[in-house]
Amino acid sequence: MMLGLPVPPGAIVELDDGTKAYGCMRFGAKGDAIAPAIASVFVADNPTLAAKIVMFDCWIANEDRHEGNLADVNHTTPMIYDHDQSLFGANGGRRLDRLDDLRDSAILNGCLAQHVTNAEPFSAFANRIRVLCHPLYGMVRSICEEVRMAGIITADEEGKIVEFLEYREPKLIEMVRKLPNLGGQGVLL
Amino acid sequence: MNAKWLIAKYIPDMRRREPQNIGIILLKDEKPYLRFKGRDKADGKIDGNKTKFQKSVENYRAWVSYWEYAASKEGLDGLLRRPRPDDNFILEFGGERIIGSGSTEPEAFADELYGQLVEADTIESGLAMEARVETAIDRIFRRLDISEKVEKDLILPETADTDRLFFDFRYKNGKNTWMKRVRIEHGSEKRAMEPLYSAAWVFERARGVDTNCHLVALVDYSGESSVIRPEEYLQKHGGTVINVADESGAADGLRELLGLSGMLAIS
Repeated sequence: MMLGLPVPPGAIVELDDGTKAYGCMRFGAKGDAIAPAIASVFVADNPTLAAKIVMFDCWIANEDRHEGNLADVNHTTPMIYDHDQSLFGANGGRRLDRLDDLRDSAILNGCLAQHVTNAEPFSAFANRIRVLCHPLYGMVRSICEEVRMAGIITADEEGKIVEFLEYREPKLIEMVRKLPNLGGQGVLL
Repeated sequence: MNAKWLIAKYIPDMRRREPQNIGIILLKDEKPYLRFKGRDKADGKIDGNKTKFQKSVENYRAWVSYWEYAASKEGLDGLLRRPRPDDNFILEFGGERIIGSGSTEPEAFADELYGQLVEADTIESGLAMEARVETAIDRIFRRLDISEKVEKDLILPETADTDRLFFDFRYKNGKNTWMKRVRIEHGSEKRAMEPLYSAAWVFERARGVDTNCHLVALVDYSGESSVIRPEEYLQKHGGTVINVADESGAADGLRELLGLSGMLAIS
């Protein structure tokens, strides 16, 4: 949300069995489940937003961007959700290893990446991410601290996430240059 | 050559989990043939007036568009992949038939499947519809906490000796609110309009003898017969239309009309 991406508002909640989770507001069309988006149409309708989502997914190591976690219905705001496969992923005991494995990977495998052809939004959005990571503001650090204090991650995991996100931030422009359909625009980044 | 089909279903209430069939997708030679409620099979456009079973026509259009796209691009596997737990638009594998060359054309077969699997489900029997509407009205009255106060099956007293005007319900709150169930028939516009003509006739005469009353038509038009506009027609004849297919909206409408407080029991 701090990056201006359209995600449903949420909060850290405690489930019946005592475990903690991030729960976000369920949204839909007057109570009906919102239709999955068609990736090529989503990018055509929202080229700037699509570029931002691609860079965001790359930053947080989200390899699970598909049509089912994008919403793009006429007359409603596009939405993105379900980021539970990012950062630690679903690796169970290999949670920390995933961040090591993907440290330098340009993660551009989501359904939007192949359709993004406009490089123009990347610089401004990379700057926004830079602000979040900047030690002067320390927003990434304070969010991770909050999550650790809520008992969702350990101190080791907190340190690892902060290190991972701060490490990748200056490399994002270089990473998105590898998008397949930027054509000559990649060199302008 | 094999033809496989999927049945598209819509679950109006995820707590009750009572899906209704809304369309079919037939795949033959990797080409999809879609038949959906309210969708023109020639141009693929969806008429919102024929899809009142769901809550947002834009969202319904988006679902059908997505399924069409996924069927063309990824076939059966793509369509059946990754259902989300909260989805109330779902696809289920319907069946498979071997079609030899020169036999049934896929377009005709899709029509046949749609007729058997969706339309047959849509056109409910008169008795089933009566029972459903009666239950809906009962729930609306209970929601408003007026079940005990509503009188049933009445004749407007002033007309007892002449053209007797029958009403299903009356609620008195300073003045009479006469309520009449109006069953809208499926099929042609003529068939659909006849009950409205009848209700309009009753309303006009009732207005002549009980000049200060409310006249309400309790109409169920969740079905496919919405080529007509009951509200517009009956309003011209002094009636207010309450659509009992939308129980929440119907309760709100009646609450306002009957002058009831907002602090009421919710069943």
